[in-house]
Amino acid sequence: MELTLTGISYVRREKAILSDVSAVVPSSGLTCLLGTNGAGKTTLLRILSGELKSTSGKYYIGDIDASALSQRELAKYFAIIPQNAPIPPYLTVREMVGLGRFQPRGFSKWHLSSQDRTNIDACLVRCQIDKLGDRRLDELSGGEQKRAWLALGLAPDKKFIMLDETLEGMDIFVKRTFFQLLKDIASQDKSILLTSHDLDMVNEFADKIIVLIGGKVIFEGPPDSNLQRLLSDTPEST
Amino acid sequence: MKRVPWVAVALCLLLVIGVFIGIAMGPVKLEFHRLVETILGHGDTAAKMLIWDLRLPRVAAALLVGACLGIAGYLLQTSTRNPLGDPLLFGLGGGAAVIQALAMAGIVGMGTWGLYALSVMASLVGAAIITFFASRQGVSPARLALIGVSLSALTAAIATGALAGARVFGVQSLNFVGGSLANRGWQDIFPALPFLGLGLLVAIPILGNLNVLALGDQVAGNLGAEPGRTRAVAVASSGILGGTAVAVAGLVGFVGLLVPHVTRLLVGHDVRSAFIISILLGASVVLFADQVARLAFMPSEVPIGMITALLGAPLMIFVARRIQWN
Amino acid sequence: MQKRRLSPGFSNRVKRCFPNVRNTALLLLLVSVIGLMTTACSGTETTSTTTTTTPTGMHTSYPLTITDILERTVTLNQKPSRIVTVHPTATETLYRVGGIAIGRDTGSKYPPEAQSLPTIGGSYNPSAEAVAALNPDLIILEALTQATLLPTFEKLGVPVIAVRAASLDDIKQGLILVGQVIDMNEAAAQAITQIESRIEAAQNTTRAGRSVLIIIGDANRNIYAAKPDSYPGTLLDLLGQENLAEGLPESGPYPGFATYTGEQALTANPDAVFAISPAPAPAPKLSEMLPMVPGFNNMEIVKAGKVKELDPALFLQAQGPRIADAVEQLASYLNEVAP
Repeated sequence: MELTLTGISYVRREKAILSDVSAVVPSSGLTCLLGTNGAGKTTLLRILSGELKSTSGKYYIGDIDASALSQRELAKYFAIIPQNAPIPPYLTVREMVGLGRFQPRGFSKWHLSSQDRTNIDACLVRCQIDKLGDRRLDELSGGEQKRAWLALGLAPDKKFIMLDETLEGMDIFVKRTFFQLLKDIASQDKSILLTSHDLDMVNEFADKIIVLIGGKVIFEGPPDSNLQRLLSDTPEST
Repeated sequence: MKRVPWVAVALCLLLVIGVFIGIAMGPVKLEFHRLVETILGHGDTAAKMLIWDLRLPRVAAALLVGACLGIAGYLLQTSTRNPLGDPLLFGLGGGAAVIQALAMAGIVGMGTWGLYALSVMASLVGAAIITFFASRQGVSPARLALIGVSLSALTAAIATGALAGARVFGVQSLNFVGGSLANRGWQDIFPALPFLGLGLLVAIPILGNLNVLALGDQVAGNLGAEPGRTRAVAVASSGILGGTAVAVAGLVGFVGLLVPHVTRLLVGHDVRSAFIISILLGASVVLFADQVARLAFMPSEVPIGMITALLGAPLMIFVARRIQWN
Repeated sequence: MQKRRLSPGFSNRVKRCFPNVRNTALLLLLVSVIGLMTTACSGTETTSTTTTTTPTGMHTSYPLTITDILERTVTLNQKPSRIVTVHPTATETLYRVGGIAIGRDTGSKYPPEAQSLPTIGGSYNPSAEAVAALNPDLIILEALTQATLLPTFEKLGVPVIAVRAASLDDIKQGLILVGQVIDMNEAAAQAITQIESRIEAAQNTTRAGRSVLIIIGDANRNIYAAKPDSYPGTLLDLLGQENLAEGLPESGPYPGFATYTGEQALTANPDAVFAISPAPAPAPKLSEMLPMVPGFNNMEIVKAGKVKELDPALFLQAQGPRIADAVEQLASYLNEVAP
């Protein structure tokens, strides 16, 4: 199931934050949304998740008109890992990931089934934190905490995982490892949409790149060594 | 946690002891054999009346009020992610206090059922105000607490004014402001039970969501836990329970504030354990505080709110140094 | 510390006179004891000039020096004509001996003639300024509840006398005193005779020996019972009834009343219970609340709905010459609820 955006615009207080954004996010692979601060990346993610309503334009998940769905319905498709994800210090890694198996329908699930447990363990393994399962979150390093969040994002088995600037602030080695991890996960039928403004890393690891400048898509396609030049040539509109 | 059953058992034991003290001890001396005989069913009339009409209803009232306050505090703290959450502190009991004062002044004259219903509805007004502010962006825990404190101060002032204006006061206002379980009979308890039930019923569907709220509103919403609705329901439930507690016993402070923190220290943050333990712990605290209030200076009584404050304030300082909250 | 405050020269001289600090302290102690004894003695000395009984028909001559119920000596240079009474007991005593006031407290609602007088505040906190503004030449207050106001009123430079109504004797003494002060001695004597005979008549209308409780409640349903030395207790005693609050320790916010818990009420079954509800309507009356108070709701008389309300003014707040009314009413109520 692809995520297709057609002509999404978002105007706020007479400022066009997004103008006529059209793109396709494939059903698997690591797609990176590249752009400088204020380019509209977070806004776009918020529109996709249903938190904001676009001023005009639509987007589709497969054939379903997602722009008509409520935030609750959209939550079935998107897992969001926000920018400054709060870390509840008293949770263990396994407990936190377990929250991802939360089922909202009817009376909430009060216990985890054995299938849930297997699933959780698998997520931990995929994010390479299986040995940290019983450690408390406040005992982990920053990078380990982000991996816990990633495992949480994987746990509910949703089609798309959206990470908003999750990798910013990491040192270069941790960042590379994380990028590789994302790429590995995404290669197995998961579609990860990551926002970033690190061109080199994105060029190296992404399967697809969408460049957003001044609220407009100026590039959409596989990593391109000419991107560097393209970006320096394009004037940044306010 | 494996600790939970042990804690629950310990608290139940504590409750049994408390109930025994509540029945056996008091200004009128009750010999042990008469107590046993009455429990077994063939005691003398005086002992029977003493236990069934006087002491037992008061014990039941203490358990009821304690359970209400414990749960209300827990729901409030967890749903608003605010360590200062307390139904009385946040003004959720304030509406009930005003209604009680008006009833004492004779301005509102209706049976206990109607009075309790009105108290709960008035408390829900406070709940609405808190919900509104709690859901806004940029309202820090301290600011929310401040709004609540202002609300409770305002309602206390109105209640006091109503009593003073009706010249009901004389020299004794202590028992209203400090809360009291004195002279509570079965007719004060039965009308409160449905409201306790209502508060719990309202809260149960959203209990599971509370665990997820810890991840922040955005992620919780994404996982389907509906943080806005969960918060509104939790605060409403807290209002119902807090209002009921105030209608029965007046302003018994600190219980709703302290019980959730101690609960979390004992059994952790998981709603499934914390909920039950909050009930047991709240009931125990109020039950024992009431024993101190009525037995310490027999036959004079001390307002129970004074005891809970004396106990609660230093304990709160101790707990505050150990809690970890984002 | 003292040493630092005085100049060095003075302290040296002091030290020479009293070379020993301990000796100084002892000397001071001796001086103060002597001083206290003198003042104490001077207080009792003047009793010889007072009269507690005046033969009927005698006229008062001024200047007059009398001793009031607090054993204070007060001198009046001439017959007072501008009297302010700051308590119902004072007001009713004055009017009962035929006097009139020019100002009263807000609580003094009897007799009807007094209603139109300007008021000077409540009896618990009367305004000295308002009193002074009326330019009185005599102030009458109540000894039990207003003794602390004496210094305030004495400062106005006007004679102040205290009356009390804690017992029948007090009331009689008060009537005689005020009668003497305003030269209405005969009226005072007549009033006393009338009161005594009415009380005696009331005593004959009802049998003695019932067990009775007179109770008052607070906002939290705590009940307090009037002890024998309170005004309601005095009334019961005059009618020869048994007061179930006898022997209980005085406790609670009402002077002369003892806490009466639900547990004590459980085993008591008085022949009659009377309630006093001072809070004005629409506050609920104590007799209405009793069926809901555990312990009390077991009493036969409560279950029968025969708890009567006593007028708070007559039975508590306006203690004084209307004691005869109170006794008569209580006797008739007793006959009604416990024949």
